[in-house]
Amino acid sequence: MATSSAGKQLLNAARLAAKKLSVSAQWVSSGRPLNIADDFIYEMYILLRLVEDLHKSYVVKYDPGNGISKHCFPCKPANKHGRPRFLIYDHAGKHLLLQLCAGTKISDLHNKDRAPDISVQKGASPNDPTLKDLVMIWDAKYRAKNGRISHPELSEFGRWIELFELRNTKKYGVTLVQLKDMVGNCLITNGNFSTEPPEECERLNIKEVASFFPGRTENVKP
Amino acid sequence: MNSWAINDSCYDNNAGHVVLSTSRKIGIAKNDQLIIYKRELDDIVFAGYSQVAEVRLTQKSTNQFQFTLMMKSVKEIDHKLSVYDMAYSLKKIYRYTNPLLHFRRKYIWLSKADYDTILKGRIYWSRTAFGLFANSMTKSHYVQFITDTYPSVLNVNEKAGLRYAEGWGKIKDFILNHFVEASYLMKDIRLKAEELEKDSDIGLKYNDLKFSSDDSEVKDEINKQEQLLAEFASSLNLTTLNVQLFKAIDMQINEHLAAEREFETIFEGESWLLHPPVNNY
Repeated sequence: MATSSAGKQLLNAARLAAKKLSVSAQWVSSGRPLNIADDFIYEMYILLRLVEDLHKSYVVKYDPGNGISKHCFPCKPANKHGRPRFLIYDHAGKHLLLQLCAGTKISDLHNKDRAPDISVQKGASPNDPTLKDLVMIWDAKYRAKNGRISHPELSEFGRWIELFELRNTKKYGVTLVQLKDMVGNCLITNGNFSTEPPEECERLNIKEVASFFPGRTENVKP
Repeated sequence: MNSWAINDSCYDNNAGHVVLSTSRKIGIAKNDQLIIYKRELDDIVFAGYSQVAEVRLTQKSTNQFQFTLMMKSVKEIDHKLSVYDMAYSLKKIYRYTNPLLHFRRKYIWLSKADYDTILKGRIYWSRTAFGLFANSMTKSHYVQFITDTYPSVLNVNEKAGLRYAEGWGKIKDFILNHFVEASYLMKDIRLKAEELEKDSDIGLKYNDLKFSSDDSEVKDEINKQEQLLAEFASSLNLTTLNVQLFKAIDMQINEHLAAEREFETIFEGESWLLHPPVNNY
């Protein structure tokens, strides 16, 4: 049976979709292949969810950065200097309480730089922050198809908590509303929890957050 | 008996014959089957079919021959499928993204299988779907797709696992997980940023936002990328439950299972994993 005109239309639609994919599969200017796992897209989404929430309790200002990196969020670990950030003020808009940074380096207890995906830093944190300037960190793990947070990922994040001396922090001084269960050091995924028990997350002073994605409701462990 | 695709510029409608000028003696003979093809806009359409009733050969010089083919009546092909439509259904085509390159000559030999496919207007849906999308992503994406998928098919002994329908299933998932999900994230980034933009005290403008790596001057604008991904998502005709485009293709595959099996025989030995219809791999 010959292909009908409906079939021909479907072929046209398929070719059009393939063409649209070919232009969207790489970044427009740099030509880098678009990579949902590596390219800071998921991290940007999480960052804006956090900003949205902080905006409910604080005065929030966007600092675009300056120079060559003005308005440029890093797509791999970068120096804080010049990069955009969000400034979190009290209700009156007078006291700078916190800074919210993305993908920028912080030096740990060995004076080695590490770049958590999202860091909440103290108001007075300088352009080359150390662990002393840190309040809490969030790290993003994008999973295709409902994968889990792996044990090595959990262990590595636990190690970062130690390297930043965040293991014993009980109070963070950060008010979140819809995301109130995420105050703390969070390992965030669109997929599922690791198979480690909640007590292990408590021991490490980590929270796992699963199903964190548009249109879904997140779960927090513990 | 051979089959040929003949450019309609060689066909003299009034005289009822085809004239081919060649540089050597080609093996065209009485009773050979012909498909007449026609250039139309940016494509080539298979317009008619006929059979050679008689061949008259004139040799003009050492390297110049003229074949005059008296034809039986040329009948119209109704389906109006084109070379691009059939790029993944004809065995002779291997330049998948520029299939017209296979029809540069005025006369082209066709296998019997390809002649039948053109005459019947049949599409190898699973190979077409797989091939179109495999060739549309970047090479690094395609390599990642194969790397991600390969372990799960390593132990496949059955031929069924290597059918294009299977490969189409795998590549669909890859597209959903990598590009469709990216479009959702980027859309939400836009919505959140536009919402924050409404509070002018924040000082954020969505259209300013970019990504860049540390040592690069090249900046990728988030809004431009979001738009491209949104257009891609829209071309798939997504609903909350389904990718309508993918579903429609699946229906074609399922409605033409007999044709799928026949095509598997025609493309004997090919599999989506080991010999994929992708350019230059």
